[in-house]
Amino acid sequence: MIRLENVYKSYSGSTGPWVLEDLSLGIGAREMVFLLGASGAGKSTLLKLVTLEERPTKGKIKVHHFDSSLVKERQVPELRRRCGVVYQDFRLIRDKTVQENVAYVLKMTGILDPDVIRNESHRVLDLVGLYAKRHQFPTTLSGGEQQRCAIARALVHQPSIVLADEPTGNLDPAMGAEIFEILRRVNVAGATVLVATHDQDLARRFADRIVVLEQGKLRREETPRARRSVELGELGPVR
Amino acid sequence: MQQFRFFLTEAWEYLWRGRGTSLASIVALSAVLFLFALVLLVTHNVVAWSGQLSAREGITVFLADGVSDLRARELQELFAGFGEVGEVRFVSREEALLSLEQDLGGLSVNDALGENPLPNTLVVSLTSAAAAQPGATQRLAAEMLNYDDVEDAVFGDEWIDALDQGLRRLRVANLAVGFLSALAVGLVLFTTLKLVFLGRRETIRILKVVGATNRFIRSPFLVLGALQCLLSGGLALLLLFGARAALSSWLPGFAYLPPSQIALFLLGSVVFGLIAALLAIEPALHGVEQDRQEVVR
Repeated sequence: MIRLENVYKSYSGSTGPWVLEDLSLGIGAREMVFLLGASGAGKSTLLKLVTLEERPTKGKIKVHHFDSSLVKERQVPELRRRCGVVYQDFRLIRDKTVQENVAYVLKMTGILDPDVIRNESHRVLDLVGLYAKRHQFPTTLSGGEQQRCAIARALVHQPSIVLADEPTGNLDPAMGAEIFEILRRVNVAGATVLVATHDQDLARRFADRIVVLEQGKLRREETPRARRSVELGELGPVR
Repeated sequence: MQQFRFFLTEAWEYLWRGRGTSLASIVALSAVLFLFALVLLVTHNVVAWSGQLSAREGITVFLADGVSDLRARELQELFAGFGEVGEVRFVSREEALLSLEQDLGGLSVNDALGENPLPNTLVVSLTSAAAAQPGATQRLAAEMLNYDDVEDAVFGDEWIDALDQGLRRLRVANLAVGFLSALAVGLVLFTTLKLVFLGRRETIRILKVVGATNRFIRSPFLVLGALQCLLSGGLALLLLFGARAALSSWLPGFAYLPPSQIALFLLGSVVFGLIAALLAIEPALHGVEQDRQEVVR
């Protein structure tokens, strides 16, 4: 689903300093992978590389059939529409209501039938528990609610990959766990989920696999045993 | 159609959200377009008047001595078939003599000269449209002179030349005012749309990262440009209509623009709005991507 091959990324030129250095990583379909690391470890950059917000300085990234070394700029929106992205700062459109924020993505993908838009928007808002507040503007919502709105927006077009960049960074721990629970449900429903966070406890609680980055390098990978056994026991193998 | 309705709704939302700026822009655009429409209206009336005058004056074609009535009628039919010709009237030498003698207060030319010195003539009037074309009378007269049995073709050279020159100047003025108007409209629209775009920059960044194509982002702005120009053009035409109605007692016979010119004026405004919007938005759209990269660095 996502494959990074010897990826280097620098914002200063082709000789470094490297934000990501010689990174190789594969993420399969329906996996829930957490990127752990301190600030500046390269987690956000890695997510930006997946959506081609940034291009690797060296190396290659493949997402679905999109190859970073071959994909043209006009094909990038198509790749991004196959992903749903959740940001720490929510990035909601302030002058649109919760439902309009969510519906906008559908309109962007060419779905303009009002009935379909309404049904799909209601479905995801129900999923994230925001249906009752669908006519409110983002500024009237709490941080947790805004993040749930951002998740609904990321899910409404049923992407096969969901990326979340520090989705709980602005939230209290209880709300953080709730957000990860929603992402876990999305993963169980069939999406590949890649989350950048520095919250080790939550990562160990929800991840299929943890990738630890340190100063742009892959330090180690972990497979939390507890999570795996619970998953298999409750839902059976998902892959 | 659904997609166009969506872009139209978005454009209307942009217009409404920045209604202060939008109103100022529409007023400024209307003022410029009013001036352009005024010049068009003056030109339309002057062209119509000059056409009527030239058509009334026409060309007098003198036929050679000895040309039979039959040949004269042939030439009459031939010239009547020209696209620029409205009417051809045959005046026989006898009718011409009668008319001359009446003009001379009943003096008998025949008695004085011993013969009728006047030739058969064809009096050619032009269509209004042809008469309004500078040089049309001259060209037609020259063409008629090429025919056998045509001795001479005369018209009021001096005043037609003066009229032609006036029309040419008016058309140059039209072009100049049109160009200046286009420049002013372009500048106003360019600035307004840039402001709207800057106000929506954060939204546009968000749209880009969630996968919006440039076409999706650009389209509401193009519709907005077209919409502003359409509203401004409509307002300018309304103002002009009001002004003409108010001055109608001072300017009797001063016609308003015909429906075809109104449609063309509005269509031109829309097309110009689209072009100006495209010129304003395209660099700004690419600027968003560059800004983002600079922020990252």
